Amino acid sequence: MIEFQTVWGWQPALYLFLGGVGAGAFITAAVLYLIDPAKNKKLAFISSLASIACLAVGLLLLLTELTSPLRGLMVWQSFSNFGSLMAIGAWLLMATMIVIFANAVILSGKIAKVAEEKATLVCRVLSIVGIVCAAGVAVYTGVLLMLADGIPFWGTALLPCLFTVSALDTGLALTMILFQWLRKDEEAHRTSRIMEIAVLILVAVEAIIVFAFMSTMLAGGEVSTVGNDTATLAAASSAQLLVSGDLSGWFWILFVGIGLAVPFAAALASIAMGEKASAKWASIGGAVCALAGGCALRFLVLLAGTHADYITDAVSRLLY
Amino acid sequence: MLESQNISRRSLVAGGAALGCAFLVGGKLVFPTGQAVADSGETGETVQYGFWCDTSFNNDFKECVEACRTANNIPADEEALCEVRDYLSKYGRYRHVFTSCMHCADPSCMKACPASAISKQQEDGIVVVDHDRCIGCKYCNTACPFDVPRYNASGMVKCDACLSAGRTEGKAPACVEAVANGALHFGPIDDLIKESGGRAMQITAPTSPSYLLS
Repeated sequence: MIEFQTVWGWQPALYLFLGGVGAGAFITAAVLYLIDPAKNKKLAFISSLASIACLAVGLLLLLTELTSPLRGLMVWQSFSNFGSLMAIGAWLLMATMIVIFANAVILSGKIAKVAEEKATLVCRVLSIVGIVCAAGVAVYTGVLLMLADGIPFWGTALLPCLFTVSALDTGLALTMILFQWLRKDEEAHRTSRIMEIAVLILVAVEAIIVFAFMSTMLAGGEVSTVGNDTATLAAASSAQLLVSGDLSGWFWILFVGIGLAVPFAAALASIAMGEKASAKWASIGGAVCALAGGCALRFLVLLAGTHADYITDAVSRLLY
Repeated sequence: MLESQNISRRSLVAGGAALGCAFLVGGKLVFPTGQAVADSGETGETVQYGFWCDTSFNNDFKECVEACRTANNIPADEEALCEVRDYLSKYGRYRHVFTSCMHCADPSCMKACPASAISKQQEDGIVVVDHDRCIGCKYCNTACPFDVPRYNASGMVKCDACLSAGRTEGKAPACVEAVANGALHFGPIDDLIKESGGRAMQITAPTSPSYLLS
């Protein structure tokens, strides 16, 4: 059995990460906009741009990974099988980018003819539509892997759950960085506190899901009864790679430590520091760490996703 | 003036929603979730061809891998479309197992392909790749329980029982032609099981591989 899964390498890993961050950043900003359109308009606008940038770079990476990128651009043919989640995801991503772009254009105020109240109404609608689409993108990044029949380690609904929470977590982190950059110190304290509390909740939920995911896989995963033993073995050995094997350093230090524990502590510190200037730096530090950890998560999940070995299983059953 | 504007905006939204629904439904009709080729299910008269590897001959299959490379023009720096696994039992006995593509009855690679580039032939159940459609996204490799798909500049490559190497009906693939004894067979799976006298067992996996081992 191969040590690491390497057919899907760094481009798909980064694509999954950027898809998650882009989706999560837009959801965070759109929620803040819906809470208070007047105050959070600028943040929503900048976040929309950042979100589009993430999704666009992700798509570009995906294209470069293809053996025929030009043919890949012929989307009406190359993503025509809607029985494949790869195809569904491509269209969903494109639709999401269009919605976010439309939202950004109106938020920019460049369309002079549209009056303020109408613009806010349209942006509210686009925010809601955008949140639904972006949530779809976040979930899709996990479901794409879950439906890959050849990889037992990915075959659980806990994976899309994990990727979705991680998308919100990393998206919130990106929006947090943009927020701290744009803020005018007098007014921003309440929004900052809301975001820090959201960090605490998201990190806690993500930690619980990761624990459930690893426990499930160490116990043999969720596999069909046909070819049971070999898939069980593959799921367990994949999880072992992360928890105690060759990838465990990256898993525990970069993902769990820097990606979850540090942002959690930083959020607590930021809340405790209240309105002091250092609270801002705790927020930013925690956010950068969350982004690093979220990126590491995608790489780790891909690397650990090895195939089961049905041939060896058949040989041991039939020939010995 | 304001009244008529409100009414037209409402009908615009309703019209937009209706259009959106029509687009979704139309899309589902135009792009059906099934595959281009009719499925060779249990009810049809389709025959499922596959390989039978008989390890009792102790053949190391090196000539088969060589023949495969030659017939399919695989460069030396690329992986062959087949592989041989060597197993050593605790009694010191070697078994060499030759595998290529399983040509599964229910291929997950076919379902996974976003470009509908993979299809299953009606007449013999061989799973083939259309290189004019394949974009090389590698999703089929994550879908295949046996890690069969490989990739080069033209997209996904795998065993297609030498169809793209110009094999005519009735002839055997290059690997089977190359084997001197009866270590490797290719034919209708049901016939091969009978031919083996029940010795050969079909291996089990969620995709129902068309492959016998003895």
